Amino acid sequence: MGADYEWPWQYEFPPFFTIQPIPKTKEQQLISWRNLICDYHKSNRKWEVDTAGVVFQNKKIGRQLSPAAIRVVLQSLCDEGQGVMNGERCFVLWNSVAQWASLIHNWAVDRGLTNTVLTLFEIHGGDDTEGEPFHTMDIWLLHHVISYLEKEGKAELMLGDSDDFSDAGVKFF
Amino acid sequence: MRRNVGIGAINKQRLAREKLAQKGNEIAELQLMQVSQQMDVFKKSLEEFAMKYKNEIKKNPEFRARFQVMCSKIGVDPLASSKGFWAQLLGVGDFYYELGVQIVEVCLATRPTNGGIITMEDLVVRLGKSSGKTRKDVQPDDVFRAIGKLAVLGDGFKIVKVGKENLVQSVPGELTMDHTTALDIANKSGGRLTISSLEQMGWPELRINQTLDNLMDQGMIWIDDVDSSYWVPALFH
Repeated sequence: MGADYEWPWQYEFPPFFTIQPIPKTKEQQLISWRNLICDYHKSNRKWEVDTAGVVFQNKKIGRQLSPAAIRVVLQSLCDEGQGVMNGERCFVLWNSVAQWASLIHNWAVDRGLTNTVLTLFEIHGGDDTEGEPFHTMDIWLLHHVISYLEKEGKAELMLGDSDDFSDAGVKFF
Repeated sequence: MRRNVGIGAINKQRLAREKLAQKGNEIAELQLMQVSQQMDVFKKSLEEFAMKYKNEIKKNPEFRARFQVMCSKIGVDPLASSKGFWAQLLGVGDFYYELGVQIVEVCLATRPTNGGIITMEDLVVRLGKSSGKTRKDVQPDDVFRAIGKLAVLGDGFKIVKVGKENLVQSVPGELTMDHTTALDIANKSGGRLTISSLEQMGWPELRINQTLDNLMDQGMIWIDDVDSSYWVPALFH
């Protein structure tokens, strides 16, 4: 667990783990959940939500979100652009897709790496991205962000045959 | 033998009464003059005092509270208007005006999570932390006064006594006796409220349900499905 992550007070608040029936209260509750998820994953540099993990389960107070409640929370996360589903898996976007896209594109431009083919793995784990906020970004999520750049005409994805993007490449413009 | 019944006697009596009345007026005037002189001296001393301890009044909450008490005893309200003599002299009007604005800010910011009720303790801590001006020295006494000044804006802000706790309510609407009773019970168990604890009050089911539903609707309590208990965010500790 990240040393600098501090759980919000709601995490100790038992009814936080029950989706509230009053719409106004529920709305506020979901804001708090989204903030908690973004902050937790950002502090711990975790990209994927672990639905069986500590986030949705506070053993100290013996409370956890039910699977149905987790779906509600993750749906809300995705609706607000703070998360994106890949099948059953949910990835956290503590920066929006547009923000990540711009961070990565700026990096490529600053390093003079435009019009060169880079592999997604180089961006994910290469020396060149050491210290960048997107270093270690999940490969699927990276592909998702770069797809956004592609739509903007700032990159071209070259998908290989592999399902895990291990041979996928990208050219930035 | 003089019978004192003639015209001369009546005139004499009238003259004596007039003289007495005149003398009386003179004395009253003199006294009034003396009193007003004393008041002038006193007011001057108070002003000098206020000038001299201006910084102390602003910075030291205990000093400020005592000064307030002193002023209110002689019928001077330094906060009555920010344009008033005292406010100009001391800037205390500004102090409470600024504090009032910060109270509104804190209450609005926390309203979504606490349904518009916050403990005095929590509010004072948050005011101390609030950005901008240093408000590390704010005391509940100051909050009471500032909220008193906010009252002119309508019934949006008030202080509700719940047991020993003072709650600042920033949403319009009356908290009924039943509401405050329920909040008091919750406060005694760290913010937790159960149906059985309300049954112990001898309340019938309908009364319990109405109270809980109402507090739920206002966002002042949250339900915990695990043990069907209710929790008050504002009183959770």
